[in-house]
Amino acid sequence: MITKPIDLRADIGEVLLDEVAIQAKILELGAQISADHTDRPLTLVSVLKGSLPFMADLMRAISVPLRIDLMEVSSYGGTGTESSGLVRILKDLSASIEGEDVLIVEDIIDTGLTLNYLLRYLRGKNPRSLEICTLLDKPARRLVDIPVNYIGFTIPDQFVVGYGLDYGEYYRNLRFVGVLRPEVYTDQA
Amino acid sequence: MTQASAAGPGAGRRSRRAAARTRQAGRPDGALPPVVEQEVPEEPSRAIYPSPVARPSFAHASEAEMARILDFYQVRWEYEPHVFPVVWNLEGAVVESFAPDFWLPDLDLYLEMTTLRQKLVRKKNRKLRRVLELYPDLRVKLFYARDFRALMLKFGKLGLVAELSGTSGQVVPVRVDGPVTASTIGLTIEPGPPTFEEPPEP
Repeated sequence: MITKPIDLRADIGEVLLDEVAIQAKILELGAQISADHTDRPLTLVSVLKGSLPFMADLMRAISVPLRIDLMEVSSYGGTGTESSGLVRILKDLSASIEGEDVLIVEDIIDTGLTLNYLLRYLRGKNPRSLEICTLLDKPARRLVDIPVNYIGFTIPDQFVVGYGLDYGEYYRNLRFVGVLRPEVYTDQA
Repeated sequence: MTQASAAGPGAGRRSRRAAARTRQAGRPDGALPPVVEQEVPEEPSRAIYPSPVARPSFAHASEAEMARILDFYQVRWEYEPHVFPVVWNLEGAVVESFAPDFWLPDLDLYLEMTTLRQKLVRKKNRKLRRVLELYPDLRVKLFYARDFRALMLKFGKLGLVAELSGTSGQVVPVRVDGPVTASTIGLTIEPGPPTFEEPPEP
């Protein structure tokens, strides 16, 4: 059980990406995505909950017509050593993406397990194209090689929170991406 | 010295099984042998999500946890399905081999969990380098203790790391009543001191 943090900022050992750097990168990504999708409308699919701030900023940095949709999948984390069952779609798309150009918007890709599942699921809905945009890429943790079309930052192998990323559902509201002090989670292990 | 005898009596069931399997991968004609398909009918090693009722006997608790994670994300896996010989003696018999813990067929990726002591990690690193020299097309991901810890942290299960890592995570071997002989632990003793010999170019 994760205890509620008292001072969010005090739990951050290092600010990895400040607000200015994040917003500058998002403008850059938005311009690139707009340039690559001039002929057909785009559907952005955000994967809740972590990508919510990134989605909100990225969609406003894209200048071509677009629709948005939201998805949420369950995360591994059963109790004890018992089986946690199978990944589930907690929130499905609200509209069909058949024949659409779809861009999955992710906050971070590390093992690639969730995205691998999501890609297979969405391919089954027959979109015209399926691309991926992630704010953060942590390649050191990759288990499943997934081609990513747009990457904001490649980050080192550290546990990061903020700007949507959480630890025990907290820290998402930080305006920057920071490295959580190890004692925060080791004390609670 | 075989892998099993080098690892010592505390090396666990898996090393002994691996040593026994590699002995079946003899190389009488001097050519590089094919990868050995493991045949352990009493231990179903193939798992396709949702996982079957029967699970393989994992050598380490961290492997069982990894299997649950792969099941959860519906990634097909097989447990130790292949053995890659890495050292042969002068007679061409395999004396050391590498059996990655998991094969993920859809990703064409082998996964080797290394959550034990640093000394054993170095040994495994050396062995993996040798494997990749002999089988350069093999895709192997070595999953270190820090990787496992990071995975558990990500899934909010950091508290389990201590009991799933290191020696405490090892599955206790089945107790054998009576005197322990080679046959009771599944070993075949071959006469004469084994020697290390580089295999010929494939």
